[in-house]
Amino acid sequence: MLDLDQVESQFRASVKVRPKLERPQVGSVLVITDLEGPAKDEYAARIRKFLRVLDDEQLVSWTVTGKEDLSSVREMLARVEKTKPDLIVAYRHLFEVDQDLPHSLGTFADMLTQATSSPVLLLPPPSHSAFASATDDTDRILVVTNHIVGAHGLVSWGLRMVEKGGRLTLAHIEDDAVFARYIDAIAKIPGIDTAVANEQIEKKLLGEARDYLEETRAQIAKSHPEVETTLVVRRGHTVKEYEALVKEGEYDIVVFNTKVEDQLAMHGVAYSLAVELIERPLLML
Amino acid sequence: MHDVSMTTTFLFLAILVGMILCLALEEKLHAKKSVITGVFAVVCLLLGEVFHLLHKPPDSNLPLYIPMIDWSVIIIIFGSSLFIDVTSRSGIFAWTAIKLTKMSGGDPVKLLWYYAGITVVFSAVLNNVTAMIIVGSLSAVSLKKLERQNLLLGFLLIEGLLTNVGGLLTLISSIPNIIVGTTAGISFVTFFYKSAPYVLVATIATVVMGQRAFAIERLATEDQKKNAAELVKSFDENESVMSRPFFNFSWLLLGLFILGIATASVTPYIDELGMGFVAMAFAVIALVRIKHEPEKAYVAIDWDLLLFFSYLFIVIHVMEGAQVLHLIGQGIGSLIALGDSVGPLALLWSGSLASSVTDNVPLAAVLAKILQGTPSDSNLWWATIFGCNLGGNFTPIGSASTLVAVAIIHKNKLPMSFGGFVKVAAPFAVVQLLLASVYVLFVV
Repeated sequence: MLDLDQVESQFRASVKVRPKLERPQVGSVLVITDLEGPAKDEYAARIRKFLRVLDDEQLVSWTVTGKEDLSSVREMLARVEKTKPDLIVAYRHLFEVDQDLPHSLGTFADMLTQATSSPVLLLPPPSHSAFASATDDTDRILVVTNHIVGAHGLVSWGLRMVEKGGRLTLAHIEDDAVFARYIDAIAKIPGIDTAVANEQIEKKLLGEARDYLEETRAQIAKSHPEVETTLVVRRGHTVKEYEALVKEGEYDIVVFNTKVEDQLAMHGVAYSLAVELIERPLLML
Repeated sequence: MHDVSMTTTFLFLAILVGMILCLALEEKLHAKKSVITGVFAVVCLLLGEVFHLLHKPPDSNLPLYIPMIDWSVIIIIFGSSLFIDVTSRSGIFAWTAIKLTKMSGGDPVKLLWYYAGITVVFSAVLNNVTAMIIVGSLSAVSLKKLERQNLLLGFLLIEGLLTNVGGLLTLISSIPNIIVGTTAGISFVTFFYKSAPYVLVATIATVVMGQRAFAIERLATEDQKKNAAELVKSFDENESVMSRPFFNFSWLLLGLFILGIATASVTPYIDELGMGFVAMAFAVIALVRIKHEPEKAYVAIDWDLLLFFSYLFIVIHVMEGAQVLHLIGQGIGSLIALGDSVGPLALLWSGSLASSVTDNVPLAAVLAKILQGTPSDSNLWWATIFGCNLGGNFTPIGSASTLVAVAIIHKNKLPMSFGGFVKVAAPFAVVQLLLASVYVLFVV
């Protein structure tokens, strides 16, 4: 005799989340820097060259805000609120004397990522040794998350940033710690077979991510045949795996979600990633 | 016929009524059918011995209660259940249901007709409860996906009512069919061609009525159609298919199973072995596919149902010995004596009302026993079959499949009381019974 819940599960499993790739409209970019004068202009030109992919299709309005325009975090946030840019470009330790401090983003950058709703592209500071190499081109983009299924915006932004002929890597890392916590709970429930649960849950979680990514790749191959898409689906320690991926692929931009659902504050994994990957441009959505 | 005092007969009649009441109150008693009938079977056997009502067949070494059980019926149910359980693991039924969902393009009216169709076909091939579980679950999932949850109540009720219509399609589609059909000596093919036209008409009538009653309308604008088509595209029918060879094998086997059952009475050698053999043979062939883990299929067997029938046959046999069936038969006889037209109609309507409040299986078993000896082409058999099957549509407790429909309704947090069900379902049941009345009088 069939079980009602089992049959419903079977049908629920047959409903797949299909990728919806919509090209993000980038009509305005706000570049925030603590430089002034010729250094500011030179910086702005470099950023514009680095992000030339944005100029490919539409006329982009570039606004550069330098030291002379801002004196406080409040002013910066007010400027962002007023201009409502489609993308903010900034760097770590803005307006700070020591721009090489690890384990932190600095107050200005921190507030940008926590208190604004626009995507933020966070770069190494211009004074950092990695700045030049980090702002060369955007032909290798890495999109990382621990929940790729339905992350249409994340994938769309990754695709938006990759140059023609470039490579887009879509990575789904299932967090080992979270997984272990649930399996540990299951192991204490006599009615559920732990080994079966372990195998089935892993299979379902990774399988759904793989299916979603495979279909995403197929869609990209159709709409952007010049872009090579590679997929990574596995379990592991989220931050360590992300770092390992970044090192392996020498990516130009790492794209990830930072916002906790229903609020603007950055979630834990995103913050850890943001402070660890100090030499890479990070596009934080 | 041996002498039995009226006191003894009325004592056993009271026991039979008690059992039927307990079965009707199964949910309230929190007791499974097999346990209820098991208790009554034990009591009946003991009292039967005390009152010297039981007689062991002279040339049998078996305990006297073993030959009381109609093993041909039990084996058909056992073999079919096992076969269907194994083949359904291949995903063929879920695949079909999802495929039709996609074919509807998300249009509620098309979806209703497709689901109505598969409810009837699945009820005919599987059992009514399994059909309701499959189609009801899919309705809940697909209407949620289509953002049409307001239609779910209507879909589930229509499907619940159609399981009992689909259960009329073949000789093995429902337990009353098996019991009454085999007692009457109606072949599978005869049963099918006599019942199929009614099932078709009753299905159309039910869906048309349901469409109006629950305001199920087609999508009006191109935008709605485009959006719905996009949403149903997200269903992947292949998700339920674990192994393509097993899936193909199951389709082939299902086709051969239906053919085997349909031709069992005319195939040399098989005609001697009967439909039960065909069902068991196919169950064994299907088990070969999961030969390393047949216990999974054994666990899925509805032992409650099989034991319920076994105990029920024992109770009815004792009732026969206690002259209870003779007494009921006199009552039925007075109904039948109302004439060639009114008699069958009285049997049909009284049978349906009785089965609307209690299990239709004891009713079918008692009526079959009483009608034994009536020519197989008599419309009294069909009055019994239609009455037993369709009566379940009056109330949520009238049949197991309507009970499942209500369970899915409640699971989805939709309001539906006992009275609410009767109010909505009664017009459908009346129309189905009116159609059956015309059919019994003028067609079969």
